Amino acid sequence: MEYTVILTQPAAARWRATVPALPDCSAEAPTRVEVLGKIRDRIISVARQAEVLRLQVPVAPQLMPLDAETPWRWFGAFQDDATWDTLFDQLEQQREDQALGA
Amino acid sequence: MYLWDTHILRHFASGHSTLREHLQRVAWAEIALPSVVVAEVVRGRADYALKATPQQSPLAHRLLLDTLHLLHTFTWLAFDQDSAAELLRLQRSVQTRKRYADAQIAAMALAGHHIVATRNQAHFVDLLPPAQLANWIDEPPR
Repeated sequence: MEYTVILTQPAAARWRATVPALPDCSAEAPTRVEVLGKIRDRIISVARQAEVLRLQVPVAPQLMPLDAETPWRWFGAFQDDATWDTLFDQLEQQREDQALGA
Repeated sequence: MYLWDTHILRHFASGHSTLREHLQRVAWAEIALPSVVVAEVVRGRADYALKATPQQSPLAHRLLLDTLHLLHTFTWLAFDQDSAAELLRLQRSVQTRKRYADAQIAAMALAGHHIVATRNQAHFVDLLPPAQLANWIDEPPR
């Protein structure tokens, strides 16, 4: 079995290894070789005790666009449109005409 | 999320100053138009375009398309099965006369634990608890 390992070096004599597939599995050591040895041992230790399965759930997270900024170009875009207010007055009247349970 | 009632959309495109203050404090991703409001506005603009006189038609059709572009800048929230269940519950439990579209929007808010931003808070009494109502037109942000 292969695991992807992320190696970073936050300081001169400090290496850090993390495993995205195993969020609690990480290691630190003063050298690259040592940290790779340590993380390998940790992965083996976790994998020996672990059970991997896939759960189906009935909901999906809501996707939000990252670039969702307020579209200010549309703010006030219809302020000179005489039909805009008329439209909403009509919508208000239509709401009055249909009642819950009617 | 904040679900906008029709009047908030109205004042967005009219450039209301208090609404601007609210928008400066809330992420756009936290705002959505209920499909009820989308349907009402599209129906209104489409009716105007389809019934316009020859003289009115160029403007009416341009306004229809401009409005569709405006609506597309929003996240849309669909009236789903959970909303339908809430609407049926409201239909059974609410004793006073309520407008159907208001009840539909309230049901969506109840189903998704959203806040309805509306100028017509009185219409939502008995439909939603006060914590799920906000008036972004007459009440400036705190």
